[in-house]
Amino acid sequence: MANKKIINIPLGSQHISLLEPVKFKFACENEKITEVDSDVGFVHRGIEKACTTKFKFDAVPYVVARICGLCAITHSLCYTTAVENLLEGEVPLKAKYLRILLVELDRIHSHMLCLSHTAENAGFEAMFMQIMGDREYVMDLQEKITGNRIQFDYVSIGGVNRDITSEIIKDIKTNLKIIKAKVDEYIYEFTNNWSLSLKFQDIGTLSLDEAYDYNAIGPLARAAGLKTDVRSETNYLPYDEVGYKMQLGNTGDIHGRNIVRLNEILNSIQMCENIVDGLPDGEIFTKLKGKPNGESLVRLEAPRGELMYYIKGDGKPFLNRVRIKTPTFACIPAFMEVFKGSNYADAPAILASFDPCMSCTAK
Amino acid sequence: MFSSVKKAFKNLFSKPQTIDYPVSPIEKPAGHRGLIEYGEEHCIYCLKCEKACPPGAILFVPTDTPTQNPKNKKSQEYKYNPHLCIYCGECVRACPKPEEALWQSEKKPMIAIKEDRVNDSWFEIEKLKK
Repeated sequence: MANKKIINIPLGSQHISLLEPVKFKFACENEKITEVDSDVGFVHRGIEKACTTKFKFDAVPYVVARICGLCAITHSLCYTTAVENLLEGEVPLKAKYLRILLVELDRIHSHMLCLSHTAENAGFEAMFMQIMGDREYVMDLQEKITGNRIQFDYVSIGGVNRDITSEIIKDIKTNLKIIKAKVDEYIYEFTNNWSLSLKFQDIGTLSLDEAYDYNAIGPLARAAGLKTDVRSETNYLPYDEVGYKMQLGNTGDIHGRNIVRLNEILNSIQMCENIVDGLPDGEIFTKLKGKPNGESLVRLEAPRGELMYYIKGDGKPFLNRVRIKTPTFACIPAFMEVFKGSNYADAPAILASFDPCMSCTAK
Repeated sequence: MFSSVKKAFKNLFSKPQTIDYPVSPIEKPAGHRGLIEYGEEHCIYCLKCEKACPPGAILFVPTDTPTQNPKNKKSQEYKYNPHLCIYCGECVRACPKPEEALWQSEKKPMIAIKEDRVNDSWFEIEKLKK
């Protein structure tokens, strides 16, 4: 053929293999994707505006928790930490440990959801159901600790709402032991099963340089070998005391991302066990007085990468500015780079391996 | 190969992972967050719960038939919208007499149906407040 014909194929905003409303426009040459254009914001809800006009600063944690169902705790915790910085109050150590416990349980179930979707996109429906079934062990724990499965509303300004009992600690230990055995099985399956390992190796590769240039964050960057994790960079939460270890990969393909996620689940389980074993005594809540006055910027590691909150207040009940930067939005340039050079048929599987969260992105 | 056959055989005789819902009820764990309940005789009408509620699901509106509670000097009436409530428990934490005047039960919220006019009747209550 003398002339190479370029065909434009859209993926999204509604697509049979896509769970979330994001649009990618691919320019394809035969099967290969050559150019990518993206569009987000199909589910914009105006939450940042609502936080500054409709809700007072102490009600905002409950509003931002509803941005996303999967990382509800990270959103409310990030906002709460930003307000606590402005009110200059000290949160009790026990509350900090309980916050880490919930964040890590949240990470476990979020990663399990992503892995199940990756398995589904490989055509491995049975694995999808199995992981989703095992995920219920974590959801049950979350419901026992906070009183709700998804929308925890566990963090309030000055601490946490509920204390943990010895029965719940027993349940946590039992369920985490079961999940740990299951995750070991998944690692075996994701490494040795043909559908999940060989099919995914060298697909959707992001190199270390590309990850650095396009500002990739979260498991996407760590699978490429980029050492970026907010948990090791900040000290709002005592991560160094609970046994945090950064999980790195070196391949940057879908298989590498799956393995990084699985290792992170194991590390999170380890952290949760350490927390319940060495939970300090004391209060879980201190009342902080005053109104936020000044600027505060807080970063926190959500399951998908760095979540950033910027708030600005002038001593009045309503804040002047609430700016939220979510991990998926920051990763879109890296996503576009990964698609270039891949086959169009691989696009849904690559997208699922990014674990995109569009309700976070278009808040 | 052997292990997968063993697993398949085991799964054939094990119980399903799902709950047989209409036949057996869904069990909620102890301390699960349910409806907010109100004890009028212990209320001191400080309106802290109304101020603390993030979605504004608790309102104290003026009424012509006030209760006999001596603390109710402005003749107000407690109104609660279970369909607007997010069950966060912020009102209970703000209440000076929790467990007596305001507490969080483990009861499930009722289903909103058209005949109940849940939205319209609540808008009328909100107008009274303004």
